[in-house]
Formats: sequence, C-alpha cells, structure tokens
Amino acid sequence: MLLFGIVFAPAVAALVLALVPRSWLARLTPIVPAAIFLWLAATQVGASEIATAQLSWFPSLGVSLSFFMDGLGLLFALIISGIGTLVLIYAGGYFEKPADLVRFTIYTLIFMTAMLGIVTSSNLVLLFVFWEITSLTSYLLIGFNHENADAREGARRALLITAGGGLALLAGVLLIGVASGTFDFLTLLTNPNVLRESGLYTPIALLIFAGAFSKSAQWPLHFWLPGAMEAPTPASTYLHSATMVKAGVFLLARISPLLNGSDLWLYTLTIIGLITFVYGAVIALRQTDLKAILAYSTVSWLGILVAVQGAASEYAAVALAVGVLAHALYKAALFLMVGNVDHATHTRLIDRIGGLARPMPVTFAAALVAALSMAGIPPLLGFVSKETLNAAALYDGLPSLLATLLPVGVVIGAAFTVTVAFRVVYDTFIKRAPADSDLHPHEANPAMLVGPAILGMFSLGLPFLLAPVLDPLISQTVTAIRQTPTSIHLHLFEGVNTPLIMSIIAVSVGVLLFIMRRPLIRLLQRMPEFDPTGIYQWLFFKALPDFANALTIRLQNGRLHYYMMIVFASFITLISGIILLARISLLNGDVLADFEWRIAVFCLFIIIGAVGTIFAPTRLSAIMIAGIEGSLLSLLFAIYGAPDLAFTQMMIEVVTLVLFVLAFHFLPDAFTGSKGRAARALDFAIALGMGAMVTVLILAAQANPVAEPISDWYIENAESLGQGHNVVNILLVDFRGLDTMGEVTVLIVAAIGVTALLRFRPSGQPRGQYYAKEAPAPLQTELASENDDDDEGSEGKSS
Amino acid sequence: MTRSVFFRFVVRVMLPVLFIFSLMLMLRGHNEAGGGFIGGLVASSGVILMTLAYGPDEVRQRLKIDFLRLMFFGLLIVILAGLVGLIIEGEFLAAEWWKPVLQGIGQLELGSPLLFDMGVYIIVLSVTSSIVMSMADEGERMDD
Repeated sequence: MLLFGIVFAPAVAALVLALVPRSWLARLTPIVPAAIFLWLAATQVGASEIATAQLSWFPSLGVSLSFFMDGLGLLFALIISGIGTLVLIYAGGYFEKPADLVRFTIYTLIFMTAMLGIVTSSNLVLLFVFWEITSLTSYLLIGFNHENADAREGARRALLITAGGGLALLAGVLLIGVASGTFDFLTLLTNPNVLRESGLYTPIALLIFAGAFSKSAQWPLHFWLPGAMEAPTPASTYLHSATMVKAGVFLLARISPLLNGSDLWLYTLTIIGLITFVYGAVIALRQTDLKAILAYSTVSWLGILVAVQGAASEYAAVALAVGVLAHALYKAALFLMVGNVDHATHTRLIDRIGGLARPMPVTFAAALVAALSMAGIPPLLGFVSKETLNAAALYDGLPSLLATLLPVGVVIGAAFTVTVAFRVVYDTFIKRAPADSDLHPHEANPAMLVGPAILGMFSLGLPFLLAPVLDPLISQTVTAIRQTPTSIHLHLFEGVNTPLIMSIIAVSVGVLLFIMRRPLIRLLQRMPEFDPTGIYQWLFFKALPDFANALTIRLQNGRLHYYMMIVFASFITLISGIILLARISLLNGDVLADFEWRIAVFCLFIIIGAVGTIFAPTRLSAIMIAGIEGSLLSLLFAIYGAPDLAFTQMMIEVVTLVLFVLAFHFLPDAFTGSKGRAARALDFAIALGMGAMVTVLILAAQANPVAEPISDWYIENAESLGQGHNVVNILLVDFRGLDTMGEVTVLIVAAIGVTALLRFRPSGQPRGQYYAKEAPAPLQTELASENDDDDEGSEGKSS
Repeated sequence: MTRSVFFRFVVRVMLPVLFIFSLMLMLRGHNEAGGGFIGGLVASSGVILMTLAYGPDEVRQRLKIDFLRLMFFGLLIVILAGLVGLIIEGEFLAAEWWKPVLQGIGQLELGSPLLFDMGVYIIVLSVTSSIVMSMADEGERMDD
C-alpha cells in the first residue's frame, strides 16, 4: 500500500498547494519527492521481493489500479524523485513572481505523480492514463509563458505529437488485451510468448513503437523537443531531459520481454535509434542557443538508448540502465547551468556570452563535471556508461549488417557528443566574451546552485561507489528488463579492450572536431536540413483545416432540411446494404400470428394522417396534424399495455406542439412555395425509404431473435431487486440508472445550447431579425456566421 | 402575444392541480404508471401554460426560479442518489431502501431510486421550461 502513497503523494501535495497557493508552501514541497527518494533508496534498492499494490477500478474492463516496483521501475522512480527534488528547490530561486512559482510547482507535482505512475503501473491501461497526463502537464509547462506566441506554438506541437503517439499506444495496449486477454503486465509475464505467438504481433509492435518514438523524440518525430525548450528552464530540465522524454525508452524496456527477439524489433529500434543518435549529435553542433544545443543532444542520447535495445543482450540492458542514469545526472546539471547563465546574462546565445568562469565559479565547476561526464571522460559516470554502450554495440549476436553499422555509428555519434560537450563549456565559460557584449554576470543564488552541485557530485562520486551503490541497483534493473536473475559488476577500468579503444577514438576525433569547430559549424549551418516541421505545419495547419472546412461547408450548410436528408439517406443506404449483403431474413411464421384487425384500422388512420401532413397548406396545420398523429401513436401504446409510454408520448406531443408554435413565430407562414417538383419527389422518396427501413428493421429484429429478450428478466426481478411494481420506472431509475443519468445530462447540455444560441448571438445582427421573413434561408457557406436553422435542430432533439 | 382574461383564469385554476398531479405522478411512479420523467413533463406543461398566459417576464417575476440553475441542482440530486449506493454498498447507483413503519399510518418506503427520480423530475422540468421561456423571450422581442 505504500506504493499508492509514493505515486500519489506529489498529486496530493499539488492539491494542497492549489488550495493554499502560497510561495512559502511551494518552497516546502521538495520535501515530498525527497522523502520518496530516501524511502526508495533505503528500502527498495537491493530488495529481493517486488513490492505490489492493487485496488480495483473498472473490474469489468480488466482495468485496475495496480502498481509494482521492480528494478526497472525503481531506477526510474529514483531519477524522477531525486531530480524532482532538486528541480523544485531550483525553481524556488528561479521564479521571481510567487504566483509563477506556485503554478510551476503544481504542474510539476502532478507531472511527478503521472511519471511515477508510468514506471510503476502494472496495468497497461493505467500506464496509458499516466502517459497521457504527462503529455498534458508537459503541454502546460511548455506553454507556461502563455503570452508568448512561440511558447504556445511549441506547446501545441509537443501535445499533438506526444498525444498522437499516446493514441497509438492506447491502440497497441488494446490489441495486447485482445491478443492475450489481460492488461496486467505481471500476468502477461507468466506467459511471455503470448504476444509473439499471436497474429497481432506486428501491429502491436508497430503501435508501441509509435508511442515510444513520439514520446522519446526519435527521428523523424524529434522536432517537438527543440520546440519544447520554450518551457521555463526547470521544466526543460525535468521533463524534457531527465524524465518524460525517457518514458518512451522506459516503455520499450518494459515491454521488451514480451516483444523482443524478432527482426522487426531488432532492425526498427537499432536503425531508427542510430539515425537519431548521429543526426541529433550533428545538428546539436550547429545550434547557437544553449538550450537548443542541449535539446538536440538529448534527442541524440535518447536515440542511442533506443538503439541498444534492439538486440536484447545483457550488455544492452546494462548499457540502457547505466546510460539512463548517467544522462539524467549530467544533462539535468547542464540544463540547470543554462538556467543560471540565462538568469545572469539574459541571453542563451552562445555567440553572445563568454568568460563566465570567473563570475560564476560554482556553476562553472558543476557544468565542467557534467560536460566531462557527457563526453565520457574517466573517471566520471559518463565514462562508465560509454564503456557499457560500446560493449553493447560490439555484442557478437548481432547480424552482420548491424555488427558493423552499430559500432561505427556509436563512435561517430560519440565523437560529435564530445565536441558538443566541450563547446558548451568552453564557449560559455572560458572563451573571452565578445567585445561588444555588455554582460554583468553574477553567481546565481544558493537555491539555484544546490541542484547542479549535487548532480555533479553524483556524476563524480558514483564511479567510485560502483560495488556498494550502483551494482545492486543496476543488477535489479537488468533483471527486470531481461526477466532473468542477473548479477552485474561494473568496473571503472577493465584493462585495455575494444570498448576502451572505441572510447579513445571517439574522444580523440571529438577533440579534433572541437579544435576545428568554427569552420565545421559554418559548414553545418550551410547544409540544408531535412525538416519535418514543414510537413507537420502543412498537415495540421493547412491540409487538415482545409479538409475540415470543405467538409463542413458541404455538410453543415445551415439547413435543417438538408441535415435530415443526409442522415436519412445514410440510414437507408446502411440498413438496406446490411440487409441485402448479409441476406437477413425478414419474415418468419410467427410474425403475422398476432395480427389484429382493430390495430390495422388504427394504423390506417395514422397513415392517412401522415399523408395529410404533406398536403397541409401551412406550417401550423401540418404540425397540428403531426400532433394528432403522435396522440394516435400514444393510444397504440395504451392498447398494448404501456400506460407510461402512452402518457409520456402524449406529454411530449403537447410540449413539442408548443415549442413548434413558438418557433414558427420566426419563420415565414407558407413553406411550400419555392420548391420544385423534382425536389419534392426526392423528399418523398427519402421519406418513403425511411419508413420502409424502419419497418424492415423491426421485422428483421422479430424474425431473428439472437438471445432471450432481457425484458423478461426485468419483469421477473422488478419486485425482488427493484422493490416496486412499475417495471418501466424501475428500469429507468434502478436497473439502468446510469443510462438515465447520461440522458438527463444530455438534456441539460441541450438546454444550455439552446439558451446560448438564443441569448448570445454574433454582434452586429439585430435582435430578432435574423430569421428572414421574406425568403427561405440562403445557403450559408461561412463557418463564422451563426446557422439559423440550427436552433430548430437542437430544440427538436431536446424536446 | 395577446392574452385573454378567460385563458388566464383557466390557467390560474389549473396550475395548482397540474403541479400537485405532477408530484403525485413522480411519487407513485415506482408502483404505478408515472415517474420522474412524466411528472417533470406535466409540471413543465404548467410552466408552459403560465408562459403563454402571462408572458415569460411575468412568469420569472412570480416564480423567482432560475431554471438554468435549477437543472444543475437536479443533476446534483441524481449524483447524490448514486453516491448513497456507493457509500453503503460500494457500488455507484446501487438502490438503497429505508422502510420505517409509522404508527397508525402505514409503512413509509423511502429509497435512493426515489431521490434519483426527484432529480430527473427537476431536470426535465427545468430543461423544458428554460427552453420554452427563452423561445418565448425571443417572441416577445419580435413583437416589440
């Protein structure tokens, strides 16, 4: 049960803060993730048993609030809570307005719960729910400065891409449920081949890939991440570098025991990941905004974390575990460093700053450690990570194509990463500031130094505490990824071997590139870039709206008559199509057994009335006849022993009549005049077809009983379960109470719609004048203008 | 709209009858023909008659009810009726009954379905009335 506390504690803190929005309270919130971190570190690292917690939610759908904490979840939960603590402390110094601090803290705490939920959910549907919450909080945080157009654009782009990927994930999860009959991950693990053996393997894998790649910014879906840098720097640090973007990597690692081993898995992950790794590292170099540089280098590192997972070797799992940790530590430190630089100099453009080492010594020291770790220089954690990565790339189980591609790609990407890391530190802190710059830098306040300092200490200290601290954690993580008990022993120096030589080559090339970076960057900046943003812009801001416009103008032209024609015509087509194609029989012997003459005569009257409405000269007379029709119908209900129905029908007729009369106030008296013969013939045909289809439907339902009618059950149980005699009413308020609740809610929505349409009209239109008395409403082609016939439509539905 | 004195008189006499009848329909609904939905419709026909006889502005003045708000009150009651079951039985909308015997009068049957039906009654009444009244508003303005 403690797991519930861990997952939901930040959300509770957010709720408290929302109720008491004070900045001193916001400054206290780091205690929550800190407590989570300490508890996890103290009790879960090295634990032999996997903690679980469960609470039923939608038992009938197989969805429950079930959590478990295995090694993989634990590693991520430690990163989420640990870096979360530092980022919340940092935010206390970063935001100048108390209201901003409170708002940021609330969003971040909600995000923290969602992220902890993702990494500990055992139910896959639950995982999806948390997944989408992270997309939403990310949207709120990118658009934090919502008065800035770029921030809004970046937020929208990130939401469209990640939430779109989330939908793919949902589809994949549902297919997993179809293929295996369960959404529970632990149950799935008891039969790990169930998905591989099912025919749905390929669609499931592709959908999961789409979800993971969009979240973890894999090429060619990477472009939302640089746009997300409009977020306040603490948010970029936390969401867009340390945690949320790793959710995709996490998902792949989580699902790996169920899906890995196929060519599809191996080649897709390795190749897409490798492209992302090299592409991101190269593009990072040509950026000039510090945050953009770090964003592309994050894209790059996420790429390699995906690529190594292709081959499900033990090396790969180790490389993933160490890589996630090392990256979170150094990249978060670098982002916080950028926040400090931005605070001190009010610019993030690397060409405009320089020489900050002297005025900002603590920031510089932390950034230096982080950058060395990023470059993979011993004895930092990044070096250990790069060694494991090289070992994974050299795994001899790879097919020959990948066995050359992967090591080469890893060395190239790593070399560029080295260059980027050196450039960030050198050009910001050591290089002399440009002569024309007017910087008055100062060291950041203590709250903003705690984070970088502690992160630096971890990067520096962990490699010397491999055996007591890191080995148990990494072993647990690898065990969880591979589902085989594994004991890992990491070493800082393993002797001269191929991984070390690869590291040496990468660093040497990287340093070489760093020395000649000026011409290189100029060259890169001149190179044309493949930019999916254009496709995205075209798709979401041109093609989709244009299509929607065209469709809307065609379908919603404002004439109720036209709407009904479309609805009826589609109904006729669908029903007749189904009946004809499926060869559904319409008659069987029993149907005509209950035939009664008095009912037939009754129906004849109704038919005569229906024909009468067609020839009625005015609207009023037509509606009166229709009202009589309805009353006759209610009599029919009464004859068949349904007094409730008859009564309701009668009341509805009365109320509808009044509504119609009130509405006619706004319409011309005669309503037949302008219509041509052909138009009337079409109306007649559709009306006739509609009547025929309803008849056919009823006959078909009578002739093809699929199951025992449920009505018998209701009648039998009305007294025992519903404690009453009126079955209809018990049905409404008890047996199907939830349906009724939905229906009355719809009623309320309709009433609000009608009121809004009648009360608030577009300005410029004189009140009461927009129902033209002279002519029927013209075809309306503009979306902006209000549709006059719409009012009638909603009344019709709601009455 | 012109309103005849005779019509107003009939409406005045009819109104209390209609409202009492509607309440009766709702209360007896569990065992005999009736229920919240029909009751609400009958009650709203009363409001409609009033609107036709006196005009929407005067109805608002006399009734002092904001139907737009009342419908949310109705929804609240419906949800509360559902929560009763959730609290007692752990299942949303499960029916709960309380049947105290009153000395010399008989047995009283109270249950969450009745509460639910009251909510439906209020919602149907207020939805229909608010639509009719806003349409009538529009008619008044056009006549001006």
